Amino acid sequence: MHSFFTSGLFWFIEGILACLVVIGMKLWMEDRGIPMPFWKWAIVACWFLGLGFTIAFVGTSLGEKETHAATQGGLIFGTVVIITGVVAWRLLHIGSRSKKTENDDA
Amino acid sequence: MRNRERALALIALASVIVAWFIGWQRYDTELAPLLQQSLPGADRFEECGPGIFAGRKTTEAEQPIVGYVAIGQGTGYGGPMKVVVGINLEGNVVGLTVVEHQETAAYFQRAGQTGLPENLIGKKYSDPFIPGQDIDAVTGATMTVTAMADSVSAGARSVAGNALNLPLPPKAVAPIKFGLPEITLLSLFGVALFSQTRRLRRNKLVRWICLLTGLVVLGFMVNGPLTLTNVSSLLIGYWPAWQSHLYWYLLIVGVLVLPLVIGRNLYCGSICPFGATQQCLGAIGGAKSRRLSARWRARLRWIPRILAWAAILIALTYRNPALVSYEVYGTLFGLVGSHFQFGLLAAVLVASLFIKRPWCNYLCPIRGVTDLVKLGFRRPVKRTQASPAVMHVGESELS
Repeated sequence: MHSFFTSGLFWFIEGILACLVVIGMKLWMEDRGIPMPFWKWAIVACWFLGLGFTIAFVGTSLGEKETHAATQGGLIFGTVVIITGVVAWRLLHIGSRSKKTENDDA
Repeated sequence: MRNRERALALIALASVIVAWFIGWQRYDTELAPLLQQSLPGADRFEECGPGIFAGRKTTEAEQPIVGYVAIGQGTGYGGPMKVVVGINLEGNVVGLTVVEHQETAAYFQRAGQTGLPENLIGKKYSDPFIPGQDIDAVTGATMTVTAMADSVSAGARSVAGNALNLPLPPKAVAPIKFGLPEITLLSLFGVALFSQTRRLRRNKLVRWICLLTGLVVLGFMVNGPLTLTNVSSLLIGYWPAWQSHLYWYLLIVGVLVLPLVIGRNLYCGSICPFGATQQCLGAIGGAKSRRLSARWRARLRWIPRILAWAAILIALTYRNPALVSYEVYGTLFGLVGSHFQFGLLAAVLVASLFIKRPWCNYLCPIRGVTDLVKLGFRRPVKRTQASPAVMHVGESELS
């Protein structure tokens, strides 16, 4: 079945958006003085994979008309993604320059 | 203010008593239409003993007895389970119908997905009917499966002994179940009591150890937190055998009786596995308890009390403890529940990252029950007394 979501254009736009998100994140982190060594990028990549998996799970389940699986999976994986997102967010702030400055001032 | 709260609690307790009598009056089950379903070969039934019916085939000239039907009873998670059991003349189970149960729908459904009760058909009255031995055990629905097996065994043995006059092997007496869950629970109550009464210097560390132990053992390994279903079962009068449910009784005593005796709720703050989950998430997300004004928190504290009161009233009126259980413990620790429960669990877990113990403070019906009991049974106080009637979980604990 041909649709926009199975077309090459969708993946082209998807790729552009992914690049913009990564570049935007890098600049935003630099503005805030948060260093981004490789392990932080690895955490971000893993979390992004988790998010993608959740969206894919819900999307494909709905596509298969498995609404029960989509709801249950969405709730379970969605909660896990949100919680791991908060964990990742706190890990990203390790070595943050703003926190160091606050501590130095104190 | 305190005396008004106490008056409301007493009114709530009085309404629970009224609901109990209403439920008791309307409790009756019509079994006759279900007899034929359990003994398909028969078309006429006549009572031949207490709870035993002989099934005849009237299409044949001599109208022979083709089997018997009996009502067997066992005790499940939410209360008694009644099963109409069809037995042939050799003492084998030929059909059965669950006519009454108080199990949570999700647990009953899980037991059904594994082939129960159909795979009990064909078993002999003298079989042990023990899950894990001659019946497939179902993880996460052990009590439901045990209740079903006990009901069928009781019905089959009743027919074999009273109608068929077959020799009955002695029924194995349930051994006293005292293992890791019971030892852990008693140890946790002991440690929590010791650390709180002695005000140890490392009180915070001890509480964390208790919480994490409770989370791992009582939550993920045993999946046995106290639920509103347990409390409603107790009030209705569905008391399971203490030998096989010692853990449950210890929990009831620890959560509902101990606070009245020592004036402290040890379970919620230091043992509850779901409280531990929220506490851990709160530590990860940096949750705060004072995001709401004291006035609003005092108002919101009435939500669990009202929810618990309403749920108990409905359970007592309909004699079904699991009818309005909205708790999410089983959903988290056993991945069993409705869409609503999964949604509620997701909301609570995410909220726990930012608000300290949202479930414990604003939704937990067990907390509502303990509050109502405490408010109802404590003596009226003078206005000058400043200590709060019930403490907000997270205000002074581990903060």
